[in-house]
This record gives sequence, structure tokens and C-alpha cells, in this order.
Amino acid sequence: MSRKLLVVEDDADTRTYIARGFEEAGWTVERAGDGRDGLYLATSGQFDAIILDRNIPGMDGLSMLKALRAAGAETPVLILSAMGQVDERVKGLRVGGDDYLVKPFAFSELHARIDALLKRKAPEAAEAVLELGDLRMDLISRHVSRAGRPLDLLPREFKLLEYLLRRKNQVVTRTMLLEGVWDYRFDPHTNIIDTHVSRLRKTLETGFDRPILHTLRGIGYKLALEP
Amino acid sequence: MNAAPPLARRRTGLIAAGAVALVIMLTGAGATALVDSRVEGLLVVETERTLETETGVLLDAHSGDGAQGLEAAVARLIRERRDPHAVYWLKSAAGDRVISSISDPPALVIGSIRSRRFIVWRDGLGRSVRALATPLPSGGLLLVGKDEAARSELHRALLEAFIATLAAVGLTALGLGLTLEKILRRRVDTIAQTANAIIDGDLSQRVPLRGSGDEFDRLASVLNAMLVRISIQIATMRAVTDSLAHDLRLPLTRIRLGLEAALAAPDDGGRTAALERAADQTDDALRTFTTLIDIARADAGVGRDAFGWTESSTIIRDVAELFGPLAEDTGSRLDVEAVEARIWAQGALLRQVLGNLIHNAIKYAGEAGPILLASRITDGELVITVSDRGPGIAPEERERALRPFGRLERDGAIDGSGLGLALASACVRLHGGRLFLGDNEPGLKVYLFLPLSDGLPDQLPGTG
Repeated sequence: MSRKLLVVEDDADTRTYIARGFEEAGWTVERAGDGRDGLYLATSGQFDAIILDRNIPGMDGLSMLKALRAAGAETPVLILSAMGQVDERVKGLRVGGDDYLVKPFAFSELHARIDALLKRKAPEAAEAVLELGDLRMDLISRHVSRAGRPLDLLPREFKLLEYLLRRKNQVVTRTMLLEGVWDYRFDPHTNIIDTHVSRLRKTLETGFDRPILHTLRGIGYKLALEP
Repeated sequence: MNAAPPLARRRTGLIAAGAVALVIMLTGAGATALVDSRVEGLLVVETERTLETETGVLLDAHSGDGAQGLEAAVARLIRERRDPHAVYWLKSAAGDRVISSISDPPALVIGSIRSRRFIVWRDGLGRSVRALATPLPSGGLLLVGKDEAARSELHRALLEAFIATLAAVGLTALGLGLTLEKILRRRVDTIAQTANAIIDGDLSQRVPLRGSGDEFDRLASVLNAMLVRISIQIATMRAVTDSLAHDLRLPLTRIRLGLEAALAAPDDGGRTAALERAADQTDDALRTFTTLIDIARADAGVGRDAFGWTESSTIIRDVAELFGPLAEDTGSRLDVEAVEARIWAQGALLRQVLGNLIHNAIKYAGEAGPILLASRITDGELVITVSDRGPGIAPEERERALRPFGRLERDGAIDGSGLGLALASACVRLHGGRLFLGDNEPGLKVYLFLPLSDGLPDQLPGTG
């Protein structure tokens, strides 16, 4: 069954750009150009996710989101905004946004985040063990092993791997890692994430035949058995 | 000094002076009226006592020498006229002879007197006369009295004194009011002159202080502090707008050229590479733009509503963990010495500031030795320092280095927007703190002074 996405965005070019991208990825996309249409569609249709621009005519994005949440809809919402400052972000998440992406953005980033939102909405069992192939992470004893061989991880490497394991087989971008693992919401102006990931990769892959932590050029990373 | 303003503009002072004078005059009039009535009462009592004494003396003469003795005594008194206001009137028992210093009192007044009592009437000249009327045992009537001209004189004297006092008081009040108005005007004029100079575009003007610490000095120092703050903001704005032309137009030009090159390039690896370069340059331009907005917002005090209680050592360790590997990659090391201290802050912004500073240290001085990120508490403030072992910044260049696009000449070869320190400085100001650059001997030591939570008023979370 194809997944359904609602894009509420007043700029026609951006709207088309987002919609086409997701359609190519197999989604069914509905479009709205202002807040009123957006709210009408959002409350009447069954969507898997909503991409909502903050600055839209009719009813601004945050008011629309507030109304949507007040109506009891729990559809995951990603807010798009030109306002990237922390306080603005906090406002967005406070009224019920699930994620916040600052314009301009790369489509791959948007796509990865929407995928992550869907997974997050799926009820996450209180797992004690995360696994991928022969990689095993015990969240209680904080023990990590591959093919039965223990791996020695620093606390932050553990957190990084946990983040990746919870999103296994998904694309994870650098900014998602910065936000999710380091709580750092700014462009660090360096390839610092690459450094951290390559260190983790060294620990995960040295001495094993199969690569497990893949780099997707220009997009991010993917923890998976197949690239 | 300015010429005195026209009268219309001085109205406030005049009205104040006039009002004060009027109030004083009314109070004076009331006081005078009160004195007048009290004095009159006393005067009547005094007069009556005198009349009684005098009557007693005359009656003694009467009882000794009979009616004739009394007549002689009264006649002598009238003749001698020692007191010009004294009044005597004596009627014999038979009613046929009258010895008098005045015209006869009205019959209505004296006709009904059966016993000794005081009477008041108006004589032929219109003067009010008060007299003690005594029926004589022989059947006659003696009046010993005083006309009340004395009282009118007293009234007049009081009125004159009152008017004189009133005039003096009124003039004094008016003079005081005008002087006060002049003093106030002079002080206000000083402030107004500064304001006018600023309106004319000279923002370097400050209100002069007299050093007296009075209300005007306090007002002046607050105004001056405000002007300093505005100057900083305007300087930032100016630097930003000046630099926008260069620092944003340049990358945009590069992008444009790159895209043109890509259009012209054959559709193979060359085009892709040119497009990738253009995309990178777009990111650079966007980054600069974002940072400029961040600085402007921090300087304008926007974003305080996202403040919260934050453990500074957690932030310091998080940032160190993020950037540690980068330092190691350049052959350096990032050491951390953090004390626990809660601060009222926007944690995310502080992470960015520290991240920027550490990144700078790694970039400019990473190969020169270890970098130290430390925090300690000094004089009720949290002091975070980022120290490196690199070339440092010469004291005379430090102020410029904190300004947007204030990059040092020698860094031309190193990538960077020239905004990192300016952003750090603006963010620290947003947190009510201050940032300055010091010498690590050798190297650069950046100090961030932040107010500690303990020192903050309780209501702070509600402000902003």
C-alpha cells in the first residue's frame, strides 16, 4: 500500500519539488497552498505524514498545527521554516510538531527525516536488545558484540550506534546525528560527523568481512547489511 | 548656552511659580483674618475693663462730692481731653442739664437703661461708640465710652502689613519659581542638546555628567548607557550591511560563474564537478547569511524566551566530545576542566558558541599544542575559557576581531566567514555576560563571563 503525504506549502516551486520527489519514491502526495486548505485536507484525509511550511497564507503553519492537534489528529508533522533559530524551533515543536527542518534544505534530508518520523510513530517496544545481523547491542548491560566478539565503545560511540540501530536500514543524515546524538543544532562547519562515524565504523568493521555502516555520498549514512 | 526660549515655552515654570505664590498668599490672607478677629475680641475686653475702671473713679467722686462733684469731674475730663477717643456724657437727675463731649446718643439707646451695662451706638459722625452706661442713684445717667476709631486704625495697620507681606512673599515665590525653572531648563537643555546632536547624526555624543550623583546625573548615565548599547547595535548593523555587499555578493558571483561554466562544460564529469562546486559555494553563502541573522537576533535580544536552567558542565563536555576527534585528527588534543554550575541560558546557542570557538582554535592553532576548554567560578560569575597555543591575536587587533567580518589579514588563506567571534560575542551579551580576548602566552585565550543562576533575581525567567 502506498504511503500518503500532505504537503502544505505556498511556494509553488518548492511544493512541486517536494511532491515530485516523494512521488518518485512511491508516495501518494496531496498538496495545499494555504493553511485553511491544509487544515481541511489534514483533518479529512488519512495521511501518514504532513510536511507543513510555517509561513503560509490563510492561517499560519503553527496555528494550523495547533488546530490539527486540538482536533485529535496524531499524524506526524514535519515543520519547514526559514526561521532556524532555536527559540523558533522550540515554538514549532511545542505546538505539536514532530520535527523541524530549516529552509533551504536538501531533498535527501527531508526524505530521511520523514522516513524517521514514520518509524518513530510506530510503537517502539521497550526493547532491551537491538540487533542487526550479527551485530548485537544490549541496552541494559551496555554490552555490544559482533559475531559474538565483544566491541569496546566509548559512551558517545554507544549512543551513536544506538541511534543508528534504532534506524537500521534507514538513511540517517549528518544533521540528524548532530541533533539526535550530540544535541547540536547548528552546522559545525566541519566534517566532524564523518570523523565520528569513521571511528565507529573502524570498531564495527575491523576484522569482519562484511561492511555494515555505509556512507551515502552527499546524503548521510545507513546501518544495514546491504548498502 | 541657548538663548532663553520665548515666554510661551517657559509657561510650565511660570505656572508653577504663580501657583506657589497664590497658595502662599491665600494662606497669608487666612492667617491675617484670624489674627484680626482674635485681636478685635481682646480689644473689646480691654476697652470694657478700662471703661469700668474709669466709671468707678468718677462714681467715687460722685459719692464724695455729690452730683456737683461728678459734674465737675466729667467737665474736667472733657476739657482736658487726654484721650482723643474718650467719650463722656452725663445727664442730671432732673434731666435738664447735660455735660457731654459728644452729641446725644439716640433716645432709643439710653431710654431703657435701668441697670449698669455696656451699650454700642453710632454717633453723629458715623463712628461706632462703645460705652458703659451707669444709672446714678440720684436719677441721672453716666456714659463713659470710647469711640472705636482705634479699632479701625488697627484694622488698617493689619491690612497694610498683610499687603506688604503678601507682595514680598508673592515676589519671592515668583522669583524662586523662575530660578528653579531656569535651573531645570538648563539641565534639560543639556540633555536636549545631546539628543539634537544625535538626531543630526552624531551618535558619539553623550550627555555630560556633573558628578553630583543627583537625579539628572542618574538620568544622564542611564541615557548614556542606552546610547552605548544603540551604538554597538548600529555599528554591528553597519558592519553587516557594509560586508553584505562584499561577503555575500562574492560567493554569489562565484556561484554564478560556476553555473555558467557548468552550462558551457561538456555533459560529463566536468559539468557535475562544476555543479557540485556551485552547490558548496551556495552552502557557504547560506551559512554566512544564517550567522548574520543569528548575530542580529542576539544583539536585538530575541530568543530569550527559549532560555532555561542549564548545567554548563554538561554542555562543555558534550561540545568537547563532539570536537575532540577533530583536534586529534590535526595532531592536537582537547582537554576539559569544567566545574558544575547552573546558568540561565539557551543551551543550544551556548553549544554553538563553544563549538565555534573550539573549531577556531583547532583551525588556527591546532598544530601548535593542546587546546584547553575550562570553566571556573570567579566573583559570582561563571568564566569559561578556550585557550590555544597558536599565534594569538595582538592586543590592538582584538577589538576588530570581535566585529562581524573583522578577520585578520593573516587569516586570508584560511577558510572562514569572519563571523564566529562576532556571533560568540553577541550570544554572550544576550546571556547578560561579556566576552573578551586575552593572551595565553603564547596563544589566544577567549574568556566568556556568564552570570550565575544564584546571582540572578527570581523573576528573571518571566522576563524577555
